[in-house]
Amino acid sequence: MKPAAFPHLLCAALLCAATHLAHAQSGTLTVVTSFPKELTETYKKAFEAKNPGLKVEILNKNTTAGIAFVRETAVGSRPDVFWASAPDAFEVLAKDGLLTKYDGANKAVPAKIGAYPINDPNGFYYGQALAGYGLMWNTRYLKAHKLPEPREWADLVKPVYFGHVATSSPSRSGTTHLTVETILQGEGWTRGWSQVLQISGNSAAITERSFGVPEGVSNGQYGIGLVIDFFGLAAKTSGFPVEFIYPSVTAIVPANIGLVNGAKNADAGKKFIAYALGEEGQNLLFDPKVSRLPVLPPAYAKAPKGYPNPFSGSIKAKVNFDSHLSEARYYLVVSLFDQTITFRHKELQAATKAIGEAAAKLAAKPNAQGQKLLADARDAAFSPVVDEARSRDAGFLQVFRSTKKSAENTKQLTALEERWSTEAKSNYARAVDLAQQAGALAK
Amino acid sequence: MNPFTMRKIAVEARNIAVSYDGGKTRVLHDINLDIHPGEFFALLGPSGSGKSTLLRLIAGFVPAQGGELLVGGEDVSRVPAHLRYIGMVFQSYALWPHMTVAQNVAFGLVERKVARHIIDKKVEAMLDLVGLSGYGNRRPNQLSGGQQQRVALARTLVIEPRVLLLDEPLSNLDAKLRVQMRQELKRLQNTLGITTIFVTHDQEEALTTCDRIAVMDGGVIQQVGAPEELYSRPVNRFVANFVGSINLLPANVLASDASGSEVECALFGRFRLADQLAVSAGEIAVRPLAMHLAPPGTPARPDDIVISARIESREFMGEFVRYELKAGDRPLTVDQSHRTHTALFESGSEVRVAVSPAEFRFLAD
Amino acid sequence: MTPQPALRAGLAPRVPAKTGATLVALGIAAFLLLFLVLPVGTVIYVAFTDGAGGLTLSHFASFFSLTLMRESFIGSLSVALASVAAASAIALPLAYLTVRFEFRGAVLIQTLGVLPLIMPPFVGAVAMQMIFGKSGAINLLLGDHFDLNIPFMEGLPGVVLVETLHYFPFILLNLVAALANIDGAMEEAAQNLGSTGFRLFRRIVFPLAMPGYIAGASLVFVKVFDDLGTPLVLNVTNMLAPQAYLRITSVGLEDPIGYVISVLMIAFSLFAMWLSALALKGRDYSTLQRGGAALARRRLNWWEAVLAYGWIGLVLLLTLSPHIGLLLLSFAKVWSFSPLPDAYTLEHYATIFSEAPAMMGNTLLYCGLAAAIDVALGVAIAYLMIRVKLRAARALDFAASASLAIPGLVLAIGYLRAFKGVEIGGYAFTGSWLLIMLAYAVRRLPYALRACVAALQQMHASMEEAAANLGATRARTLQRVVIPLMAGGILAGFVTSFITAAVELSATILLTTSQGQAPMSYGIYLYMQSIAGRGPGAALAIIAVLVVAAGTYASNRFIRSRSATREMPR
Repeated sequence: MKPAAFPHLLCAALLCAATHLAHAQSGTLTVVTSFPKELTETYKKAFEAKNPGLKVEILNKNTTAGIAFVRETAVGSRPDVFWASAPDAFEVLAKDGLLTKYDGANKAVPAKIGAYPINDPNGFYYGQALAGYGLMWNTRYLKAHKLPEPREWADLVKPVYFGHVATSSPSRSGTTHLTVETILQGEGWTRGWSQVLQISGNSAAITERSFGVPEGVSNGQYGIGLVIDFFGLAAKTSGFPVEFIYPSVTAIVPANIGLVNGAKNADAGKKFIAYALGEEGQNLLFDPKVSRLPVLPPAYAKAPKGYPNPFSGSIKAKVNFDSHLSEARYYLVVSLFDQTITFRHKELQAATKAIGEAAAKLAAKPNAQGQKLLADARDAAFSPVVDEARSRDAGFLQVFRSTKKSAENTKQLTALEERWSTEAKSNYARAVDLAQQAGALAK
Repeated sequence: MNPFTMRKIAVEARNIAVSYDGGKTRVLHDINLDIHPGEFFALLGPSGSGKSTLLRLIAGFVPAQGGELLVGGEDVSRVPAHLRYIGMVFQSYALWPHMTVAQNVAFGLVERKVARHIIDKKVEAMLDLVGLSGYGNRRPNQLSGGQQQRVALARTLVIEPRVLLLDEPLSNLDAKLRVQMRQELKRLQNTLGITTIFVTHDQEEALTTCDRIAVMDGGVIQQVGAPEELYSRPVNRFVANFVGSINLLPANVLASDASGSEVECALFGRFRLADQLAVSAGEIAVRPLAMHLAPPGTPARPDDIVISARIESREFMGEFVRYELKAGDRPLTVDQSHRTHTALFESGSEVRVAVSPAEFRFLAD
Repeated sequence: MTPQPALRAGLAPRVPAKTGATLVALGIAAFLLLFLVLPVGTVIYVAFTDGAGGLTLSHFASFFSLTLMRESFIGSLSVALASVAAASAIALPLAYLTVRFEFRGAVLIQTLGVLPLIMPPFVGAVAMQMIFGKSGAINLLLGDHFDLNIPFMEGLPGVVLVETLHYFPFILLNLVAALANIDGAMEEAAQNLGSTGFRLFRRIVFPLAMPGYIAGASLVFVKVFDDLGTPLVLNVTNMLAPQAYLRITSVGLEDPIGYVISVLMIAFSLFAMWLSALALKGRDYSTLQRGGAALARRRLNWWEAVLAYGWIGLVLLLTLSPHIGLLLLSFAKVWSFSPLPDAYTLEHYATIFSEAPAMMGNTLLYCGLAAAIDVALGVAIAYLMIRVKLRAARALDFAASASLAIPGLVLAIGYLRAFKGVEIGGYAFTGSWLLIMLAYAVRRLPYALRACVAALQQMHASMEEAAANLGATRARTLQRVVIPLMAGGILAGFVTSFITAAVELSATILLTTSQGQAPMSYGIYLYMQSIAGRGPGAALAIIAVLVVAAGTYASNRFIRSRSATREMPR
């Protein structure tokens, strides 16, 4: 570039800066969301058509980046609406005073789905759509690997699925947290963790993004994934060779929308929320690219044929989700999962594999002592390192709930993490050892 | 004492040719040379004359496309560079900056898998020989230009090569060091007795240092001879011009037989030359220092040709004074040796120019 | 080798010039302070404070008590080292081929050597899953024919594979430049003394190219050590960068350990860079003399040609595999568990051209401006350091280079935090696209700076002395002689900054505050978040790759044509 070009470039830049800044004026409404483009574009177009002169800015960020963004932005220039799946993200936003409490609920929406409140009882945010969690699988993958189609979470613990499952981590994805919490509530703490550990042991990967699971299942990288319903339904309508079912141990929970505290254009934000909760906005959820469940029961009258309806009992949600319990032990569950599963996945896989192999050998040539060793191995590998009594200990849970900033607290927490992590590692190693002994006896 | 044994080896070139671009650019043409064992031989020529190419060809970096290169009587034109045992000192010295002086010097011996203790001994002796004892642990970039030159020499000589090639070895040194180094080179060559080929564009360097010189131009050897021979009997205009300064004056041969020739040139008129000439036209070459200036009317020796001229300008060169003259409208350069208290001719003054025809050399066109 | 110090002493700076230089240096220092030191400092501060705001080292103690962290540290270290080794194994033969042999593939190697750099890493990894993944094309074919499944993309070795293919050009480009600067006489001297072949390469050629190699290798080390995207896409968490990310971005957690990791990563990267600078000290081996010839080239014989082209072909295929995967993805209707897509369509491109032209414009604007700032700062710092010999310029050079070690996420959080509430003309600074552009400029400054420093070092001071001698002021000399002569290096720096900024994501994603100001990298990320968006996302990525590749090729041609006209006759 010639040096003479610099001044011109600079002028152009300043000009652009001026015009760009001019764009960000009132008449725009900013929505921070973790939802895919198909969904947000549908709402943006419909809302703008209905409100001429009002422009919708969609800011797509993953939930955590979204929270960080709102928090780090100055009051008065913040985005207007926060719209995402994970209820715990809204808990955090509300607790940090980043949401505005106002009466914007659609009165036609029922108070609860199952035992779960659709709208925040404190009035900071509202359920906008319902989401159920289920199993999605790639039909080509299952056929190629000659795997049976799963029906329940419990199916995924079978050795035949070893290396074919995928799941995310509750610390990365609010939806995964709800799935894990649903299993824990449906099966009980100890049995639930055992199931979670076994499914994770069968998993090929613990993905970093929750979207990594449906993506991997769609393209055939993984066989079966634990996903939120609309990912499965949307992939199917996009033509991918996938199937989706709700297992019986599932929960239906709302995806939420809320008005940000310190918003630039709060009135427009309220308008958008009202639209998303109203009949017209609810009907948009049936769009095949969106494929989500409305919170407004009358909307289902217009649903396509065979569309699941959580209000009619067509989804057998056996679990009455206890959101207080979930919230009380949120950090415990998340941290326990990461320390003993996400970061020890290699070791857990090895243990699961060894146990599966030993079980197969013993099935062919039964041996009583071998069976006992195998049971010990399972016990070592698939028991949570924190027992149920401890998980209910309020004092213990308090460690996780403090602001996490004090040095003393950090020390306590890291000590816990260290203990769980090393304990899990040695448990898995012991399980491999025991399983190998058990397998050797089958000869 | 010199612990190095250098054999005296002859280098002969037979009809060597090199061209690029499929023969379009001729770099060397029909080179024939006989370099005697132990000789200090120079390749002299302007840049682009092919002298460096010829040197690199002898070293094995440029493949010959025709002819033979005999070193010690055997044809080496197919032998790769690293097996020729012909040492070369590069113009840039090419000292490796990542090695110490001693490592640089030891390199060739290490490549030949010489035992460590012998290497150490030889490196030390060689550094001593070039006057750099105690510099072994330095890095090349910590040395002066002259010292770097010595390291380059030492590195090449320590492998006791059959022939030593020097590519413009003095061009990176300042004037005073250049004179000192060239004397040192001559001394070293005398001590070792190694056949040495020296490439230079500086006629003074070649004339003062070497036993014999090949003058090159346009990829062709113009003349080979001892320094005084090139100076006094150049065979063509190029050699005459390149070795020393010269006046070239158009001339015609009027008659020629075995007893000599009758030649006429516009400036000096008619005169006789001792050689028999086969051509009818050419040039008379006369060195500026061969003519004598005197005030008009001064008597001259009987055989001298005398003309009158006017001083146009004067340059004082120290040992001599150079005058640019006009004889009629013809320019002429005359040098007069200078002694203290000798009066100089002023610009514009008329002078008498005297020259003996024996100083004339006829060059055919 | 030439007695330059004596020559340079002649260019003793006059006093007024030094004042001007100091002012410029202060300006640059202010820029770096404001947009690099301050934001990063605010983040680092968290790592050293307890809840009450007092200083503490307790978080560090907590960090070191975690086995997982020690494992992660070892994981990051071994991945970085293994990537350097693997990248060297790929780059060394390629670099050697291009400078040693007369051979048609040289331009191809150099152009394709840049291709991996212009691929957003996370997109590359997604595309590579389609080729090398557990159910990727290759493993499906292997499974069909040999009943074999090779875990290319699993665990730490998978990370090494992706990182190697992504970053080996850093070594290749540096090594080629270093080799090209070796005087042919260096090699001939060794041949003359009886050395040849690989031995000659090992003892002479490679040691002389060592500075270039170390520069490239340390860059690869630092980049791999800090890289977050690749391990995340491959779901590898036992490394430092993912640990820091997972902790800093967990919902609602202000986890000091995450910041401790960030600080440690910055410190370790700086340490690695310092080590390489130490290793390079006093080793300016650029030995090519003016008028000198580079290393001699020769023709390949038939078996060498087979080996060379075979190796190049293999590397190219590997290097291009993400691009191929992406291309297929961009045309694919449905691609699932099959070696190739089921059916093809142009629909995704139609979607992109109707929805994303503004993003392309934004990318050009931000990256163009950022790269322009980078070369302006690069030229200024290089000139102050090398020619004016301002002592403070060394500090500027160090600070600017250090930004290489700052993870994009840390810088972005630092920006949001440091500039919170700052308004320009009534609008929030943090909401302005200027911040995205500045983040690009700061993060890519080291690339442009290195290119400018190299270009200025290669230029003999006598060029400027000649101008000064003819009456030009320092400013005029800079404008009329120095900058035109540095044009090649400046352009190289501009292009490198531009293309690497064009694929930046980690800071972009946090700093983008409206869709209207989103650049292409953000768009690609956005599309890639849904099943139906993968096609358009891939199409957008392909367009990004094409645009950047075309720019790189054009500037390469430009540099080549300029340097050809300037070559001295031998």
